[in-house]
Amino acid sequence: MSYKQDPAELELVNNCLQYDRQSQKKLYDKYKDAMYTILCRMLNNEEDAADALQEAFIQVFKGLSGYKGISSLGAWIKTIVIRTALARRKNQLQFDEIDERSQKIEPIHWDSNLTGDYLDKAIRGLSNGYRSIFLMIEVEGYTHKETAEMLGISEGTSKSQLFHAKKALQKQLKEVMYG
Amino acid sequence: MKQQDQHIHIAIKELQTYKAPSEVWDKIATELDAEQPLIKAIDEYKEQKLVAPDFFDKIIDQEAPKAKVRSLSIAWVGSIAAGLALLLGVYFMFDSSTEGSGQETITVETYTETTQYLPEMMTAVVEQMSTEDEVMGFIKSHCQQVALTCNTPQFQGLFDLYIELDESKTELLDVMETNQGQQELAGYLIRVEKEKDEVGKQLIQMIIG
Repeated sequence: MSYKQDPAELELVNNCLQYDRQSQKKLYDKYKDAMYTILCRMLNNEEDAADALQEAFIQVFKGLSGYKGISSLGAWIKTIVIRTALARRKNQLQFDEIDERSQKIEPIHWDSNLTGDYLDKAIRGLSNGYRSIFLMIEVEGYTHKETAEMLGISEGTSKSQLFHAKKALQKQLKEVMYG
Repeated sequence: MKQQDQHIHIAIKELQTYKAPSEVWDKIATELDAEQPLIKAIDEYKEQKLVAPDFFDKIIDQEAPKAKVRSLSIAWVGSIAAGLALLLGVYFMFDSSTEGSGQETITVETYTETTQYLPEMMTAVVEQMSTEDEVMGFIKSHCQQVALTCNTPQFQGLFDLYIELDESKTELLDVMETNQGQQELAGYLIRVEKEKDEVGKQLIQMIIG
């Protein structure tokens, strides 16, 4: 099923392809905060996130002719942004190839007092690998297949890593919420 | 279990959001200013329909039998022209009812006209070609002495093919210089060069007999 393109967005893309600086700025303004938020969460560092935002948008404008409208423009930009963040943490991202079928993945019980603020603090305490996988799947809504492809791991590993990430997050939350 | 999941999903929606620093756009704009010509050129390059595959097909399709057909067609035209000229010469000879010795003179004159026209064209091309081209140097120095071989239609056909391959090579080198990193084009270039070398060898072989 292909994405139905917004005509205004299509016009914005076409103007950007004509190297119209005002349209480029308009496109940037439309997505900058959402993308910066993703980068701050993924990279856990606002300065790194600002650098990555610049790098990602340069890639967006350079590669805009490759946008075919299969997904929304926002989704297309988000993929570039996440790939940029992952590339910046490449050396710190190591995943053990464990298939989820070889281990029991139990449901995790979340505290009813959980809030966004607690979660934010707990996510910051996760390792780069766990943080990336949790954010990509649970927050950004990527499938295991998409996540596995971006991280260069198997789908099974993505599932088992998410389970371990959630366990680690639960541990962090206990510390954040109850000291 | 669903209620347990709800807690985390609500918390996810409440996660802190961030505002992009204002200076980031200035940096992007500066970088875009610097890279815009390259971005534009790359976009144009992506849209560009490379001519290489078309003319390469033409070259690889020129298998040995086809090359012969091409040479033969030139041979036919040359032969017909020479034949017509000869017939005209014979016609005028009988028509004028002059002495029998005229036949030889007219025939020789007609032949001389045909043979001199083609080397002039070849000489002009040879002069334009690179001085580093060994085959051209060989043709230049030998064809003036061994004019008969160089004027045969087979030689002319091969010579034309050699020039065509040289032009293709130059064209490919230009495209490669403009669009660096094209592995595909390097492959074409090698094949064009091989074909050119082969034709060059055949030309030299024809001269030295």
